[in-house]
Amino acid sequence: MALTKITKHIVHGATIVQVRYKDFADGSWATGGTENSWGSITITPQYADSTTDIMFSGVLSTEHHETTSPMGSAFLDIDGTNEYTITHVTRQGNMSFSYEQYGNRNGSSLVMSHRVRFGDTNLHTITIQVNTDGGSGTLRAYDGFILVKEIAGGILGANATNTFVTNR
Amino acid sequence: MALTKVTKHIIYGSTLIGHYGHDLTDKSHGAASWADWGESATYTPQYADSNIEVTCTGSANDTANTSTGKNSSRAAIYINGSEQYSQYVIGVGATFQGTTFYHNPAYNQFNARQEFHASNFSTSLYLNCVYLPGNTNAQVVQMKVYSDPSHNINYRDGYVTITELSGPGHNLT
Repeated sequence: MALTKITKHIVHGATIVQVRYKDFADGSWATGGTENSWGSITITPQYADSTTDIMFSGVLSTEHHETTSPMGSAFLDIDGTNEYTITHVTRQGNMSFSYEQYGNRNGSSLVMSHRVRFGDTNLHTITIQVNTDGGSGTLRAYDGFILVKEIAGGILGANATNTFVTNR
Repeated sequence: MALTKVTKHIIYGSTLIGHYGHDLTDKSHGAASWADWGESATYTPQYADSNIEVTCTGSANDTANTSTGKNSSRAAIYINGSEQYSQYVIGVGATFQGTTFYHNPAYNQFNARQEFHASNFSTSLYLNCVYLPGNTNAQVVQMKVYSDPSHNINYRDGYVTITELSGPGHNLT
């Protein structure tokens, strides 16, 4: 009897096909609505039916010079399109007229988790972008680290609506 | 020669049995009681000895006026109606207390007095847990939120992942 070649698909479940990771340099930008690129990483899936698991962590900081504090947001951009956005990553609070702060700086830990299915084996670029909704001072980003894993198709868990990870 | 059955247990370490992810609808909650944040997800383990890892990312925004009282808010991962993991995500018992006194004797200036009134704090949040269901029944995963005392918190941009990790080889020490 001929033996069947053992591939990743014979093992029940999924295997991690590849792992890529990268540190991002600290960055600073003027506050405002422009989505500033903090850093990026590329991945080329080895299989079209793979799921790509993305985990990003870092710190986002804003300054407070006026009564109204700026609100910092983060964007997980894939190939030029925002795939996942977290607004209100950091905002240190508005001070009422009785007490205004100047030069106060505050930050929050930021974690972004996402899973996508590209459906192809093309090269894809994942970029982390940050901005504020206005305000004054400087937007600062520290200690960014991105981890990207290609997970072989395997079994996808279903919910009641039968939706899975995001298909692109 | 008898062939050995190939199972996941022959592969050294854990394998990913299933993986899943979904977005949560934004939630505004202002009561000292647990309320659902977004839709639940039902995941059925393939093996009774699997570990289930759940993560959630998003943000919390306290729109209330934080005065002299304590404000705090919690978020939690509930599985099959029971709290599996919770954390304080914003406020964390911080108080902006009463008055501030200061005195500048060089200019013979005394005691101005101010009371803090701050609002619209925001923070990113991240929760995760690993648990062992011990069966292959459907597991209902639901994010919940709680405010104490009652004041309005906006929970935004939630994203939940659920991963089934095979039991053998996982969490070795």
